[in-house]
Amino acid sequence: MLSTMFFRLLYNPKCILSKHRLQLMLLSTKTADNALHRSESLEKWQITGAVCITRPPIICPPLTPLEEKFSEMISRLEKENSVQNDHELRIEQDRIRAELLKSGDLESTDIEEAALQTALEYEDACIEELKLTATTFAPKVTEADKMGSLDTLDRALHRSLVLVVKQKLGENHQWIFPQSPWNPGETLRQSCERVVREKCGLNLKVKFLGNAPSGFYKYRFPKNTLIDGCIGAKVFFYKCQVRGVTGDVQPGDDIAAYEWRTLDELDERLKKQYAKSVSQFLVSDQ
Amino acid sequence: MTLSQCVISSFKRLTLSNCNSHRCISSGTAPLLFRVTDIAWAEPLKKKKKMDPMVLRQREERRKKKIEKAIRKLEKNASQFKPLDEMEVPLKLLRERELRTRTNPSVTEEEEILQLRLLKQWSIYKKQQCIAETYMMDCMQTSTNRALEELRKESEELWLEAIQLDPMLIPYRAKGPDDTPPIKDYDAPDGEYKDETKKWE
Repeated sequence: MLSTMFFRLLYNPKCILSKHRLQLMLLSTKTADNALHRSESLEKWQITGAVCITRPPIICPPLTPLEEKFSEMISRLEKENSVQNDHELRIEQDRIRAELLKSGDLESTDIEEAALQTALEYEDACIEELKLTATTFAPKVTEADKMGSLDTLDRALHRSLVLVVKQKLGENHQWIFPQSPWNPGETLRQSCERVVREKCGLNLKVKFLGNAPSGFYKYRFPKNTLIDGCIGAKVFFYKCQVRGVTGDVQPGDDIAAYEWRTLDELDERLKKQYAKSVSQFLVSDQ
Repeated sequence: MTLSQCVISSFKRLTLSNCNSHRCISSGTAPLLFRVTDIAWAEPLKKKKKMDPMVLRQREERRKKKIEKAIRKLEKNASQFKPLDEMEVPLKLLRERELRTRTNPSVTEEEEILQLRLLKQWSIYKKQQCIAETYMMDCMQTSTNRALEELRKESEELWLEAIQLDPMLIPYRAKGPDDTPPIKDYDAPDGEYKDETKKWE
């Protein structure tokens, strides 16, 4: 823009400028250019890596009413289209034999057969045997669900969980994903791996999903505060998954609290703008 | 010479010495040295039995024949197709087809309409699910691209690192979700291993 202005000044016949004035102007624009450049370099941003640690669902979610209806219909249709199995035939034969026995015209060989176990008795025996050997399954609703505690992985087994922490940022604590500024010499992913170690302890085993950040968020530090000469932070989110069912978080020094929350519980904790950026890359499980 | 002197001088000859020299032959004046036979730290090597070259050749040939036979057997079986016996319907079922056919209760018109409506609802539900999934993936891709762009603005080097392939990620394997959660500290009972691989010979 500046150059076009000069062009106009030089070649516009209406604009009569002495050589001296022109030189002056040139000088002044140069300094203006420098000032512009300086203000750009002043806008330094702190590169920050943050981890979004998710725990994928462990059990299937319950069926929705529509799904339930549909699956009922499918199984009914399937049964109607099938043929009868041996056991069903046997029940039918038993029934016929019982009727004959009542009416009295039964041959001696048939009576001998009837003394044996009937199909229904066999069914009952099978059920009894199953009861003896069957294992009791673990409950789908855990203790933590009943207590309403949020600081354990052993909750909301049919949902995805995300780790949010109350981390110290500047003076105050804020609910965010664990984060830390990038240190020179490491890649962003390495910084994030460090974040997991520092903020969550060594007991939490995670797997990173790729080298690229999957989300971005930018915030300014409070007015007139510069941290390492930066006016704000650019946060790059890396996604990772918890390996295994268990694993506990040993919060780092600057972490006041932590919670494993489902996606729709996240909004209660996160700031509106933060939640919006974060929701762009989270996999909804509903 | 007294008796004691005599005794000492006779013991003098019995001094043990490390001297291994073979040249210490006793004479009247020099002490008689005890020498112990050297310890054999290892057994002397046994002489290798010389084999009859004929026998060796025979053995070699026998081995070769055995391998050749196995190869021939494999080749012969390679052209053989595995029988698909599990695809056949048992004859018994074919014979008893009529006996086994179910008599289904007749469906009223109302029920049929309900069923059709349910099918429609289902297809709409599935379509919406599909659209939501596609939208979500689009969102994630956009978000990743935006993050990469911003990263490039800040630092070209970090951006270059970020777009590298992650060899540890692929192949990615995930298990679950299951119907019920795993039982804590469950000790699975040991079973017996039974090899049921079929051999087609």
